Amino acid sequence: MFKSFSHIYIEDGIRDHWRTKEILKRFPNAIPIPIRHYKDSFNRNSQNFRVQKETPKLILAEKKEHFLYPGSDFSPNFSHPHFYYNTIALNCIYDCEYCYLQGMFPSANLVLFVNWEDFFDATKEFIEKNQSLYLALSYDTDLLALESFFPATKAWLEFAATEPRLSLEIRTKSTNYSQIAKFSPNPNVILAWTISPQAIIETIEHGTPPLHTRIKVINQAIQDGWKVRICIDPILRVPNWKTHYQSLADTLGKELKIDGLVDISIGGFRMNIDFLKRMMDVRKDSSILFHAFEKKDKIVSYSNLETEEILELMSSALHQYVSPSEIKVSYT
Amino acid sequence: MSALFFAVLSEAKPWITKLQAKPISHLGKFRIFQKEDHYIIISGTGKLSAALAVSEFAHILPKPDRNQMKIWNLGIAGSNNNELSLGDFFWIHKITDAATKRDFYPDRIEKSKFTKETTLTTFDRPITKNENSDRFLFLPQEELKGIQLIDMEGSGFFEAASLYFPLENISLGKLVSDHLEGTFCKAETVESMMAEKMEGLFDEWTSPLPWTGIDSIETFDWPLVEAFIQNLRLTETMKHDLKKSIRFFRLRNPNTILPFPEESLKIHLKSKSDLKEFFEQWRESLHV
Repeated sequence: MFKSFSHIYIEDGIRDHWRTKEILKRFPNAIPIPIRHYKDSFNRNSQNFRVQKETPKLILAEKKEHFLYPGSDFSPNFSHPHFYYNTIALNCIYDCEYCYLQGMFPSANLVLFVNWEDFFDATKEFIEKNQSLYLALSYDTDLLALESFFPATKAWLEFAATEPRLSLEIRTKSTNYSQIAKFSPNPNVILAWTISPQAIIETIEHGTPPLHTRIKVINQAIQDGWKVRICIDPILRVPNWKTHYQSLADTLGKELKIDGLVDISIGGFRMNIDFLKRMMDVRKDSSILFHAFEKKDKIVSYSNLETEEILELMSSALHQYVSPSEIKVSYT
Repeated sequence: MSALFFAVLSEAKPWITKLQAKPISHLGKFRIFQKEDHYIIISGTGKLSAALAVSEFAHILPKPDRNQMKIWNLGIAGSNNNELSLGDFFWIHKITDAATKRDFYPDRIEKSKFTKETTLTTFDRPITKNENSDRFLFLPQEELKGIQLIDMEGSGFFEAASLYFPLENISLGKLVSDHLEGTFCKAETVESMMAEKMEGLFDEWTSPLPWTGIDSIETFDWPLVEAFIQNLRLTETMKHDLKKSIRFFRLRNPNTILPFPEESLKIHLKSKSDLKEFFEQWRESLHV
């Protein structure tokens, strides 16, 4: 099979964009394929997400509308009145078995929008109108993980430095902190790392960095003065889950600079039912998707009892090291 | 399993000979040659013929076979690009239908000994860039700008194939046969060009797709469950949920015997509620 990004689809309209050229320089051996609109390739019927994930291609495109979306009900809004996200990239280089993207998108190929200035303009306009904005920047992707060839996180940090009414959350599993380490910490930016027990990283979060390296860069970010959030979300009921998550809390208590954290966000597995149905079709080898979930409205999740058990165990385990006020439940 | 579509016999001949394929007897219009799990189909020229041939072939196969099948279209193509040499072979990553302006994007997933790729434009008539040819459609340079390879089947083949076969199983490859001089290639020339490239391509065509395989739950576990539940009058929803539970159990316990309720309990199932309780208990035993 071809290795990742062997082919790059390029919208005709941004073929000569300087950012397109910069990205192409990073992949000198990739085969360029001209396309009229990214959806002609990305939204085709009957694509095989699993096969494409083995050899993902890049799609370079221009986002023409919808530069801000209201935050999902599945995500914590951290009590902010204007909680939005944007989609400067679609899809992720990692391959987590629980990831909703595989139920949401028809393709596993990675779409990168190169017209960042339009995102900045739309964000400025929103802030002028509403006076504040809490923006989740890395939502349908893991932006920091792409930083070596798509340095959008740096650009947003520069932008945030000029917009004091903008609060950013940059969520990641990557250890690419060094890419942004030279920036002065911005009190309006939260760097949020999703972490899991090492056993889950190895068996379910395919391609993601190990726990100890994530902890190492988190500590570095805290030491540098960044606001850091830890997300233990989703908590999964895998075999021996209690042992794994207790052990994770103990590891954090021993190895993480807990005092420097903004908060720890915890939540059980939950999903839009249509996404889960599609995921079960494409990923028949993942037991976590075939749990006997409860359905309520259009949402599937662990049962109330199971969710309570998860949150209780995780909270109790963390309380040994963290004050209760620092633990936020992202979804019940 | 693999299938290979050609427009004309001269393109197919080296492959039929190498495969030692024999014509199959069937009621359809198109010539289909077979050796074991491999098929060669001659569609005739033009995108309509190509699409009809794909459709006819698809209908002689059950869907599970189609899902496991590698499906290729190979053939000759004219080139507007003089830098492309006669006999060069290209995989196609984009097809444009000149009549409808629609674009199609075959996924490039498997690596090949032949590394060159380009775009293909499918026209309804043979094209020439020389004005004095009455059997070809003359197109001036400005209309040919940006066009690499030209054929008469690609878009029809791909559009039809993507209706019946998984997208990722479909590939097109074209040999440069001319530079649009307005003359038809001789059959012997086409045959020898194709024979030369076939030596490198044959093993790639006959090797199984790396992403197809058997689903052990569908193949081994579910038939046992179906046999057990055949007299139970489960609803389709219950069967669907049961299958999910069976999958959960098997993925969590790959080497354990599947738990079944006691066979004798079946005779005590007098009402719907008895059945429901029996069913729920069984599912609970699978979610351990």
